[in-house]
Amino acid sequence: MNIITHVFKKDLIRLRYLLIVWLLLIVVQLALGIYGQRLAVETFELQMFFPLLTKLVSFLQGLMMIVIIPLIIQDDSVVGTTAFWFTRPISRKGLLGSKACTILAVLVLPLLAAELFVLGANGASGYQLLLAIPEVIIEKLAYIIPFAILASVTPKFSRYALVGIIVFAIVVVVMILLAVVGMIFPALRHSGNQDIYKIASLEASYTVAKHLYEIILGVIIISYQFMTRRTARTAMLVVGGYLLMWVGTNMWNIDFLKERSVVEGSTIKVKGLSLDIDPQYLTAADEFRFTKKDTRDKSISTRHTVDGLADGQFAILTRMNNANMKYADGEVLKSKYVSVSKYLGYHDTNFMSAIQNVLGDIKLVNPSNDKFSNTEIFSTDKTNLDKHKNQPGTYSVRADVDVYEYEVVLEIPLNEGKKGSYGAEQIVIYDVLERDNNTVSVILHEKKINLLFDRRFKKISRVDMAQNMYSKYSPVYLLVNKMRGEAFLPEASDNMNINPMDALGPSRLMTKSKLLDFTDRNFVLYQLDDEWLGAATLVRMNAVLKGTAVVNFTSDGFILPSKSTQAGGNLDKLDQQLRMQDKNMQRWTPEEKKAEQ
Amino acid sequence: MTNAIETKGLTKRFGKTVAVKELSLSVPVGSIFAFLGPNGAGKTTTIKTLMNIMMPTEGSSEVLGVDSAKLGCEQFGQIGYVSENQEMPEWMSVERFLNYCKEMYPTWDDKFCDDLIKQFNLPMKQKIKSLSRGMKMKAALISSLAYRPKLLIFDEPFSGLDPLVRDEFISGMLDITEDENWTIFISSHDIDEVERLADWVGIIDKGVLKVVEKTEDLGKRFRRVEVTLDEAAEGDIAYPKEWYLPERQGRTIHFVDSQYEEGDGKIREIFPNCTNIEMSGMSLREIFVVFAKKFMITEL
Repeated sequence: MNIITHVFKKDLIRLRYLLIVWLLLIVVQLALGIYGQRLAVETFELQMFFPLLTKLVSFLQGLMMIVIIPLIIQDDSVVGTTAFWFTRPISRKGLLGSKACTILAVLVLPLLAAELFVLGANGASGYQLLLAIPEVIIEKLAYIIPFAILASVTPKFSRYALVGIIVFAIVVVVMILLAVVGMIFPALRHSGNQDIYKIASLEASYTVAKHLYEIILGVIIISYQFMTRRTARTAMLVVGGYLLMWVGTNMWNIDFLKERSVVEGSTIKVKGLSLDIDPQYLTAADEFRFTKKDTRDKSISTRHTVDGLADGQFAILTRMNNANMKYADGEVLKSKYVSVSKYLGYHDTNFMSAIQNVLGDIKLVNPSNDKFSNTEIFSTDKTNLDKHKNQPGTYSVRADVDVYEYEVVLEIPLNEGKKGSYGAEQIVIYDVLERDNNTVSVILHEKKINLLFDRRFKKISRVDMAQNMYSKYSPVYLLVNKMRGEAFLPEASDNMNINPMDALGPSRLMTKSKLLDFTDRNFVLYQLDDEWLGAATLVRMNAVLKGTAVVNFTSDGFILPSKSTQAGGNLDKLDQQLRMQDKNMQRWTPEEKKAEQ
Repeated sequence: MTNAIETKGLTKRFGKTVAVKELSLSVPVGSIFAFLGPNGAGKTTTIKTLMNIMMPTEGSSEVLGVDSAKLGCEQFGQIGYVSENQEMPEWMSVERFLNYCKEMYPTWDDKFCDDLIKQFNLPMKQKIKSLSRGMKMKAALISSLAYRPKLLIFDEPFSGLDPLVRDEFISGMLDITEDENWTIFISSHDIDEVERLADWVGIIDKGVLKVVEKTEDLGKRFRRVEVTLDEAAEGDIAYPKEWYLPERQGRTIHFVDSQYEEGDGKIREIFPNCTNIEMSGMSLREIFVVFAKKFMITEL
């Protein structure tokens, strides 16, 4: 038996009880990954609970790794002068090899196997599983390396924990200081490459590069420590290496994982568009302030429409540039930062024609007439607003616009257990429920396998994630019966689109359960009976970027509202009443509806 | 190879502190070398440098004919090292511990190991962490003897052991090494115990090696001398430099002759009026005390 397997065997025996707990956690991870999604859909509480439980298991695994790593390394410590192995026929190389094998066998391989099982059980193809292998290994090693370094430069667990806490505290203090400096000097706040978290493939490239650097650095540092046992020099290498990483990755701009097949809609310029901003619905709201000393900024919003779109297209404002107000006295008020809202629901009328256009002869039987296209158009401090209270001026802006069209990406027969794939996504119909009030509820799972190295499909960025939590214009599911030529939109309010873990950013396997209620609000014209449902399909449409445009808008007689109300207090009372009425209508049961008639 | 250990100008500094200064010594193959010195004299630092646990600042050392800094598995397979400071895999039972060690040494002798276990009466099923200090040292000793090493290095092996265990330990070592012709390098500040074992002695203090000599020669050349004169001596007496710590008390003069030779001719030459000369042999401890006083070594 060579020394690597000998020490490896010894370490396994030492950790045997801890390893049982570790393997149990992996079994729980497997169970949650494979069966948790099916259970989660049963109730809203479970749907909230299971992602949290999954993250809790993942967190516990992380904690256990933090404990197991030093126990493996420090059982034959490379620090100090008293370790047992120093005077035994155990070579430094052999010991390093043995520790590496133990970490790989005990920590990395079981986690890799579990992840692959979960991905496989959630519809990943063989090719995706192959691509997941290097990703999982890199991710796990990048997590392990800092703790392995710490364990190799400290003699005992107590010292490891103490140094770890001190390092953590220093990092937190430095980050707080940097944040404070950023608040005092805003120019420094946005230093580094801000695109990293906006472009998913760039973020993936950055993540892979950072992880690879960490792993290579870690291997060099740990090998150096094992071979020389010069702890002070190793510590200096650690500090230097991590500082270099922080500086280098902060400026990272090489996108080597850019998707091959993504439609480059952003490169197509759309012409002939115009923007109309409605001064009737102007509202003012308080902006967030860091401190009380910060100026009281107000955000001005209103409805807008983009005209000149081709049939089937709809537009989303992405940025408002150079927004300003010119007053008769010659004063020009320039807008501060404007955050444009993309978070629009598909029930906005903008989207109805686009959906209908794709459906062609099939009639969308329950289109929405709502109009929620509010967007921020101006931002300034309260003093300026008060100064120009009730004073008309000329408002102008240059808006960046994304133009989309809907495309049918998936059609699945409406039956329990039916599934379909689109790109890296898999959609499974979990249940079809016929309710009393002419409503059909479809419970479905959306599963997206978001792999760093998969360049076939578009990856999801953190910004995408944040927007997807609110935007409902893509994807859109419809219940379609082609024989009848009828299609239903689901009720937006019932659409469970919540996964609390989405807030943490994209992950390798993103699962979501949705409960879609399809209903005919008129209750008489379109009956969702067994016959109708027997020939129905669930159709998924995605909004696909077709191009971008820059649109200028200028309007005289604009009055910026100074209070958090609509301009001049002119509430569109009729509009409000109609909205209320519509909501009430939705609440009625068929019996009430008939009684009313 | 005539020397199992050889150092030349070995120096180890920690910042400005000199732990070992220009230490040069040779430990002949087959000898039992007692490396003596008070606490903090530099014994452990010297041994750790010899064992490649620490790097020397200057100088060089060889162990079993190999540069200490290059000691590898092959050499450690022939060296047994037992130290009071050495960590043990405390979570193991004695049995598991010895089995763990056994796999590392091709020369491991099971029968010898069993004999040692019986001799030291070790509880095999007990975990090391629950053993007494004496038992732990015995376990460490067995794990360092069972593969019949060419060189045994003991760093303060008796420290903290009660007299009974210490005696048992030494007896065991004497029994075992009697027939094996192993080289043993043993550091201690417990001179009485080492005296029974050692055939070579090195004395170190404040990092400086004061004496290196065969124990037998050291015993032969040191004599405590008491000279009685017919009348009290007056004026200064020109003592030879090899006479250590001379004292006058009336008609009596005491000193230690560090270069004793048969006969008393030299004494009578210096003290022609002496009426009586009494000479007595000295134990290693007494010799060490003389060195301590002579060279201002810290008293043990």
